[in-house]
Amino acid sequence: MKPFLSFIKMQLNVNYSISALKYRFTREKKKRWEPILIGMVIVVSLLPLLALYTALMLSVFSGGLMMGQPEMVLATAFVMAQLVILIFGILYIMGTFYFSKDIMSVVPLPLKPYEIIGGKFIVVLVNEYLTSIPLLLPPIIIFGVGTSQGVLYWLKSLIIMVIAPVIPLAIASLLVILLMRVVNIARYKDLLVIVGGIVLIFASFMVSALMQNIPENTKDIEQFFASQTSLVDMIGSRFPPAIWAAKGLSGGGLSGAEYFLLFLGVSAVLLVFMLWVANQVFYKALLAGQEVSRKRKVLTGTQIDKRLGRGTSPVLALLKREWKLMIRTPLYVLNGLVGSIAGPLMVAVLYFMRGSDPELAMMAESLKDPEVVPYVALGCLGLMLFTAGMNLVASTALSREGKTIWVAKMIPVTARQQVDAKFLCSYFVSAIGVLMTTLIMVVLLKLPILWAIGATIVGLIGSVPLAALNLLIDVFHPKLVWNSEQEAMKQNMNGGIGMLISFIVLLIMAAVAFGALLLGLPVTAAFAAVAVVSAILAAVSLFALHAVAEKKYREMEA
Amino acid sequence: MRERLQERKCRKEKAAKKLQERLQERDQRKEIAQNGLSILVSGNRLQKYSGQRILRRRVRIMIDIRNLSKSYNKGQVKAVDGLNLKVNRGELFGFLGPNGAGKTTTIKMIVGLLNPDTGSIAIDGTDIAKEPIEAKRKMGYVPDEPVLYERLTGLEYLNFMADVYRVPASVRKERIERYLDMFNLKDAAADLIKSYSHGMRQKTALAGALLHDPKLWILDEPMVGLDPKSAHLLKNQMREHCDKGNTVFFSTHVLEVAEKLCDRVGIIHKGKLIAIGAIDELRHGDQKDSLEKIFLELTDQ
Repeated sequence: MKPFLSFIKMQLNVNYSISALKYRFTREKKKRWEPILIGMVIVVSLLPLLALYTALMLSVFSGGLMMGQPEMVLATAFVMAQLVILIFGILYIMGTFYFSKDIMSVVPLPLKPYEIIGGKFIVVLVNEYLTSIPLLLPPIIIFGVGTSQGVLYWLKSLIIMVIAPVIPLAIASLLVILLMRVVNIARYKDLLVIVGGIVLIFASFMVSALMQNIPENTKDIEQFFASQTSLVDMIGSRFPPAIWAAKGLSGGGLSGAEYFLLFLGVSAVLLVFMLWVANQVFYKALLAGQEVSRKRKVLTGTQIDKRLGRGTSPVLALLKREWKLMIRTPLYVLNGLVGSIAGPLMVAVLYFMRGSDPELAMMAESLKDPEVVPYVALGCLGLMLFTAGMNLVASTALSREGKTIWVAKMIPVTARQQVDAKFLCSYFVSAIGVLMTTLIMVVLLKLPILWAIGATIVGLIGSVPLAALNLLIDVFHPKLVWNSEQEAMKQNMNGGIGMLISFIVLLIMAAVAFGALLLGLPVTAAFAAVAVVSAILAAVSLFALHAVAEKKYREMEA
Repeated sequence: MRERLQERKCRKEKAAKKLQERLQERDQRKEIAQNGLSILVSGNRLQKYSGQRILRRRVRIMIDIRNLSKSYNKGQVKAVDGLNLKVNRGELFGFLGPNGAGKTTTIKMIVGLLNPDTGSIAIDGTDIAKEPIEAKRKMGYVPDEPVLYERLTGLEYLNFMADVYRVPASVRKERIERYLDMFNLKDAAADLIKSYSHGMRQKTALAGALLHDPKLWILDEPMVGLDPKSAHLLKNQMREHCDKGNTVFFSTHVLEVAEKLCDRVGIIHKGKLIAIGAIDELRHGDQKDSLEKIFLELTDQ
């Protein structure tokens, strides 16, 4: 038992970088503020969402109370939490069980497969509390306070919150373990990341489209949820543990205890069953996935000649490298390229989803009015610049080099040239977003070509300072120590700061455009003003980028 | 007045002495240029050098490290402590020392990956801090743990290195093919580096560092991870490179390799250079002493 416990301890330590944090707090006192700041940013940015969710749950509770079923709020919350954990858990479990970097150094340890899976499972479980507790705690408090529950309720709710993710995670683990045994997914890992990511993006589109259907005032919300009771029941009947948890919590006396024990019992049985299955088949699938296949194609002299080409300048060579590394890394494609075209794509999706919407028809009609067209073009410009400002390619460009940063320090290429290549790569991605917006505006909204061209030109100029400033942030403070591409791009604070800076720049540009309009100037003048301001910002930001790069590249150590 | 005259006389004498020395040196150079010179290299091997190469060796120092220091943790750990070292042109120099002695830190400062706290490093007369690009162009470096771009193919990586070091298209293909052949990488060149073994990555990094035929190779533990055949080929390459008048500076733990291969070795311990010279010089005439014994004696103190 002791090796297993110390394995769990080590896994949790690595997962939460406890030793690294301790080191940072005791030794690198200067950098103490970083984790604190990150934590605060996360909490602050999540607070409004949590407030919104709590308000929603309050409405569900009062809706349920009206119908004499106050426990509906619990059932809804458990269904939601467990479904979210199940869906996200599948990819998460797959990553942790089969693709984590340490897995091959763990296999030779004298631990049984079920112990390894058990340890990894606990890490995922602890991580899932970050999702499940914010989803469960507000409804539990609302119900507990709203129906004046006693001590037993709060004790039970504590236990249930700890146990809640076990059933969905055990199901997700079983699915993954069995799937991996049958199909060698490791070979298609890259494809899987892309497909999974695109599915998630579309799912979030759908959710945002659905959210638009939720009525705005409280009364309507209550009615909306009252009319959706059948939905909760339906999902509940397909996924009974949510109902057991809700009834176990809300019910007093024997029936409440029965459901409570049923929930605990099923959780334990499923967990043990999953560990038993894992013990049988985990290694087989894992080791099959580790076999690397290579084409082993011997290149002839002419083939080498063809692939080498004529040779290019260092900047172009660096640009080619940047581009290839980006498009060959699924996660970068998702957050860079796909992210860049997601904005205009969302407009297209909404267009098709609400094709029969009278508002949209009215808008299409109004576009025929030559008075309106310039304003729509201005709106398109806003979307273009927003799209250009929101991708993470520039704000993680240097961070993505990670451990290969020694090459950047070693090669005889100036810092200026190196950031130029990074800038060009990021700018291309932004430009793709701008052009995609143009295409959608011209094809779907039938925006007149001349206005579309005008907006595109200003959009392309405006993308320069956005890319340059985002890159500047990363050059100023790159995150070079990371273990997964996910950490380099999505868990990189520079991405968030970059978006913030982009917002500020967008606000400046919007203020300039509105200022021009308020002064009674024609829309073309607003376009021109945005172009001029963009050009000035571009010159300043590129100058600053070069200056900072020269200094930072010199100071950086590899 | 008299003092001033005396001072002038003194100055004149000094100038005359300098001129005489220069003339003597010129005569020596002429003689060497005409006849060449046999000198003792690596143990008791005599090697005949052509006159021109000896001249270059005499007049140019390839690596000139002066008073180099680097510490970590705000000065708590001194990794390199006041290091002075000169490596001559055409020399195969082995840099030895126990784990944590400061070898890799020194090498990283030479190639510009780390910034020294104090001191200076000149590569072939070019200060790495003042003219980094010029200095880097003269070097080819392979780190002890070659982390390469996983999602490029081996050939793409080599082409990239050729581009950034501006290897002319006319020689690029021939050199790339030569190194792919030499390191047995031809059948892997079209695969992503992600699929390479440690040894293959090491060989790819080596090929990338040699493509521009640099005057100075800097190799950090180059034999680690290489199979015997590749290690043998690499050793030959290192020797050949030096015989062409270039310089190789490498760190190693394999004392036999240093003993057989190096013209001179330097031993670093706790950040300080504790011995430098040809193996014979370090033996102090006792031919029975192995480098291992010398090393252990020196680093035990």
